[in-house]
Amino acid sequence: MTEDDKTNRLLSRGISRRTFTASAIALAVFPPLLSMTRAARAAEPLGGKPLVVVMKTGSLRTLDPNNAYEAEWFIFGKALYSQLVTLRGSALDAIAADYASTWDVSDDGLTYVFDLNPKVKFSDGSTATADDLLFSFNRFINLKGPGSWLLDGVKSIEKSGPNQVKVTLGEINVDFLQILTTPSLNVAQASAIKAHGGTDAKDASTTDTAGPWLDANSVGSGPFILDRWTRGSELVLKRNPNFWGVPAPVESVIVKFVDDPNIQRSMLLAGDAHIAVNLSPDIASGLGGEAKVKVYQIPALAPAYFGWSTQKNPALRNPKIWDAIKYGIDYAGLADIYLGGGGPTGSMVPPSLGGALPADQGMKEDLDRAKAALVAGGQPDGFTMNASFASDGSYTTVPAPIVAQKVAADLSRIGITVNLNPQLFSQMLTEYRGGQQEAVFHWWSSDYVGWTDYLPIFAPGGAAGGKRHQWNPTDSAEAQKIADLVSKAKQTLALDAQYALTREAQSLINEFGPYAFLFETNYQLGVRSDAIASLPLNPVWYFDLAGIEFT
Amino acid sequence: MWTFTFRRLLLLIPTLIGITLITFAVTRSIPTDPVAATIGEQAAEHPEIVAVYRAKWGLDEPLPVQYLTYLRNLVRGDFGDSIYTHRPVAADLADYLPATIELATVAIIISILISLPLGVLAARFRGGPFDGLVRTVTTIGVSMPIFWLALVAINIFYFHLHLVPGQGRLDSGLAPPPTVTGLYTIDGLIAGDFGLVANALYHLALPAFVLATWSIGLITRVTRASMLAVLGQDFLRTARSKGAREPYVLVHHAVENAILPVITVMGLAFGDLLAGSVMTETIFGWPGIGRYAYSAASHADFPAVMGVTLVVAISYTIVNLAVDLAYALIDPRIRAAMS
Repeated sequence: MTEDDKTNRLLSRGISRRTFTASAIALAVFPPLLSMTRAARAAEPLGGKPLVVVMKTGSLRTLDPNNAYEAEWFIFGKALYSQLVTLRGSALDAIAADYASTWDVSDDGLTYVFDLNPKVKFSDGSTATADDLLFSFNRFINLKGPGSWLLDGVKSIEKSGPNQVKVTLGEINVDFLQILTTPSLNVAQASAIKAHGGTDAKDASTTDTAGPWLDANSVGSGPFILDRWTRGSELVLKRNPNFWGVPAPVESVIVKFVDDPNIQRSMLLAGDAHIAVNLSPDIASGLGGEAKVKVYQIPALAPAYFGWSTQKNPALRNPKIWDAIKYGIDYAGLADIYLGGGGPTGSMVPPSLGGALPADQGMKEDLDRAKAALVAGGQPDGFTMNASFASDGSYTTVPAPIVAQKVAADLSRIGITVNLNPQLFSQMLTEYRGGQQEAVFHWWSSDYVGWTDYLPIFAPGGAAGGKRHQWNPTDSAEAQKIADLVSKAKQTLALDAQYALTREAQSLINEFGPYAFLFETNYQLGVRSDAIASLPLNPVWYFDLAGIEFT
Repeated sequence: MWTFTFRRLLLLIPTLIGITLITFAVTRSIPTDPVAATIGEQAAEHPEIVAVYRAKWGLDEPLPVQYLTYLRNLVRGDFGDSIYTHRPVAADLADYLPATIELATVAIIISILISLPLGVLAARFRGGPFDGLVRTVTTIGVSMPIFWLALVAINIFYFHLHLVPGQGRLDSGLAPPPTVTGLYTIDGLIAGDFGLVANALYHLALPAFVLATWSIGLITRVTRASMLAVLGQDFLRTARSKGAREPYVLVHHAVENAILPVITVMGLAFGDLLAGSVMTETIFGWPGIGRYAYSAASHADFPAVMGVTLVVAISYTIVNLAVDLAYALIDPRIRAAMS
């Protein structure tokens, strides 16, 4: 370590090296005295000090811009890299320019031409080019990482001008622009990645070796650059001095990984953090009376549901019985469990997405209809079913066990006995994805901000509907109709007509499908209102670090 | 003694092979698909993505082949790649293990410094108020849930009194020292950065005390019991009758003869501290092997689980070996037997 490094570290604490060293050594033995000399707490006006964010470690495993796909990555992807197009603020239906300044979609919806912004520069000051974009997208596809399917259906990506890229799809994808806003589809500096073992070749999944280097270095054109990632501890971002847009409002951001929401709360209240990202419902509601803390809610685009196999329980082979479950649940009462960590949902498409069924058209409790359904289904005295849930899981921040217990208690009122089977999340997921569960409490989290990430999955024959719940178009006329509506919506470019189809399909799934959609989930963020005036929220990347306004 | 040590180290080989076999069998018998537990919902429905994962981690091979491949790589020092982090398990362990070793070491030092005097004095004043107090406090120490204690301690000492930091190994934004051992205190000393060493100690104080509560209770109780067994023996009376002063009798005759069971318990306690600090690490945001192990287990990350198991097993074995060697250093009869 150089003397400069040490000096910088000490200066960053706001005290001289000699003072810090002497006092720290002496007082480490006597922590009570040490507190008196602690550096200024973060709650004081930032005044050039770092912004401190606390969030769960979650599943952040890599910072490779062409391979990272975890929810915790998106806030960093947005800060470090540019995407071809993006979303402004929390508006999910307004596609905005980013690396591409303008774009044009052909009438048949198969060809997208993007004019790239010539002002975009990487953090080393070099100009971003169409070749960087081609490299990044091809590497993303060929690494075959967990998000690589996002570009399924892309027939070709090619340069169509000096600063222009043409993307041709093999089939219509009405959410293609929405997909491109995902901070997994980043534009990174090709030359730097190649110099460190990266490749966009077809065999990249076995030959690319740039990942470890990209975990320690960023090569993007976002408002920040990566300073340091200490796994499990913290990640430090610095302002990108060569950013081509409006410079980031803070010189540096420290993201500390704190898994326990109680500790996140404590750090927020103590002023050691400005933003706490993962507040649980009870903790967030308890912060209501704190003068210096404001709680923000953002839809997590991850509805929780209760679903069942159409085949595994004899009673549930009769679809008439399904109504008993749907109408037997006290949806309004669930609000007492999820508190601010959730809200009503219309169906499986989160209400804040285009094409969603409005929240007020969601499922409602009706015990008379539930009992009538039991009679109609030949089970007037009720029946018994087995349902799994993740004992170590939660629906965004709402603990899965209490949701499962609440629903089981609701259904017991009409004679349906739900034997709850707590499982580790990994085991539950394995069995559910394998179509082995009789019934399951689960949620569906967002991959991108489009209805096609939800509706086709739950439709008859979809990834969830067919394989996991054994519900197929051939099962009934209604199932066939839903499948047809979804297919038609996927081919309809006019938004009004498209959304009419998706809403009709969701209504029919609510009515005829083997699911009860319980609630949409929310993130709840605690923010020091004495330091931060406004936070530009977004369901995908929590908030835009570069768009924060300070007091 | 060298022969003894060599023989014990040699025994480590079949022990570790047995551990790999048992761990492999147990992890593979759990009805969980590590790929399904790792990748997203949509990715799981894409066979080409799933195939890449299965091929990369050899999950498409028969189980015996997977096991033999693992053993072959292990001989070369390759623990395999973590399915969850996608990094070599050895690299993950190198990142996380030092944090736990540092925490556990400070915790065991605190335990020894507190529990030895407490145990000795409690035995010396058996039946008195001090003994009663020690027995009560140590009973609480061994029976109190660590996670609860950790939350209470943070609430009091960090949140309300601001005496200690709440999270992590260093203050926010303070860069770790250049890695040599991974122990920030040691690496800080090597780098000549005493401010950083102080900061690391400051961050160690509360989690180490919390982690030490259980072992303080245990070691104190064993020390007390062991001392009681020795204090009534004839050789102490002889020493006193020859004019030896009480403190000398207590330290040089009683403690030396009572220490062997205490050392055994210290070794076991240190092993437990290394392996069982999940909750402490989670609550204190300590990036140690406990959190890593929990994450690995909950994601069915087989290579990581096996790597952690092996490291913990090796740690236990080495600590036990150290305990046995300590016996020899303290007791000439054992030293003679080893020779």
